[in-house]
Amino acid sequence: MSDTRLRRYLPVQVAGQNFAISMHVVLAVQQTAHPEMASTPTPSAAASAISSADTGSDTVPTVDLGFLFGGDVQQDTSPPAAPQRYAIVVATPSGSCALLVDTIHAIHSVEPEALYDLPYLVTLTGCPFETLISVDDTLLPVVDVARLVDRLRAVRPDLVVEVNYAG
Amino acid sequence: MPGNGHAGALQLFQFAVPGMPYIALALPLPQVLEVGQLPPPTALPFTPCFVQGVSRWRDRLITVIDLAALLRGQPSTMDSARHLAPRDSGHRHVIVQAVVERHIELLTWPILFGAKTLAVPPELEQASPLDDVASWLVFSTVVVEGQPLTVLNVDPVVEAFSGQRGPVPQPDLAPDHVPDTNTTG
Repeated sequence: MSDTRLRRYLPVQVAGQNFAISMHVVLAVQQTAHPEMASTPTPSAAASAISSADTGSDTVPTVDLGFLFGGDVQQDTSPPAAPQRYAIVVATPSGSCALLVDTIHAIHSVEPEALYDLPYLVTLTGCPFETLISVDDTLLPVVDVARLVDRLRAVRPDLVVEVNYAG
Repeated sequence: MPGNGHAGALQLFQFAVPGMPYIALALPLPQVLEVGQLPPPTALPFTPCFVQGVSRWRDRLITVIDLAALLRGQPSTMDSARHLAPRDSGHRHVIVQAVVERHIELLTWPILFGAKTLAVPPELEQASPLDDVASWLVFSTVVVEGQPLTVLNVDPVVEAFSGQRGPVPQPDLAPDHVPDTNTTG
């Protein structure tokens, strides 16, 4: 019997840093080889922050978290990518998209009481994290996927392109 | 120590910070909760440049800032890699409480060796404010032991986090909701 109070998170590593994604929004996870995975660059994508990923049945916009969290999105620099990467297909209010990460770890379940609230001052910055969890005594910021996509649109709107992949 | 034993003496905590070691800073002692070691902060990308991250203190998260960056009012670069390199090199931290929108909010930053408490008389010679210290965080600049001492008031720090002052974050991602309490209990 499962405990419905438990919250499940997928720990990921990006550019040497640890984050987590709520399993509540995860639709699928696919291992992929970089850079072949992001096979269809969107028309105006100057860098690899957003491209399209073939996830099997659908082609979805892909956000490279390594580019966002490990490089400087304003200067088009990014850290070396891991040879094998993972596309995590997530649901957002504006549709599904894929987050490209370097490593994934075993799903971690926590009691709601074990979540760490972001300090109020930090919430004022609008950073794209909803909470933090502790895994093996390491704090992992939980990515607020919807806000992250919004953030990317705010910082680099040129990389957010509406593309009809069906054609 | 000057002022020791004065009736009505002001209790101050004097310190200096990495990145600004030449400026004597102080806080009213009641704002200082503790001085000690903290685990390295967990970086949070997409926060202003003066935010080093969050760290655990007494089973809650505390905001770790780079006070020198905040005082200098460095322009914000929202992203991201600079947040990922650990910038803490084993300094002790001062744990500070600020009154933020009627709540008590905790902040911390690394301090250099040599911090001390002072008891000074309330009527001190005023000194000229220092050019490289953001005036909106300064309560007063006084002369102690012949040297200028910048006494801070950290309560307005919320204005930097919300983008009204200093290094500003992008204003377009206002939080969807705001926690109703953040107190020390």
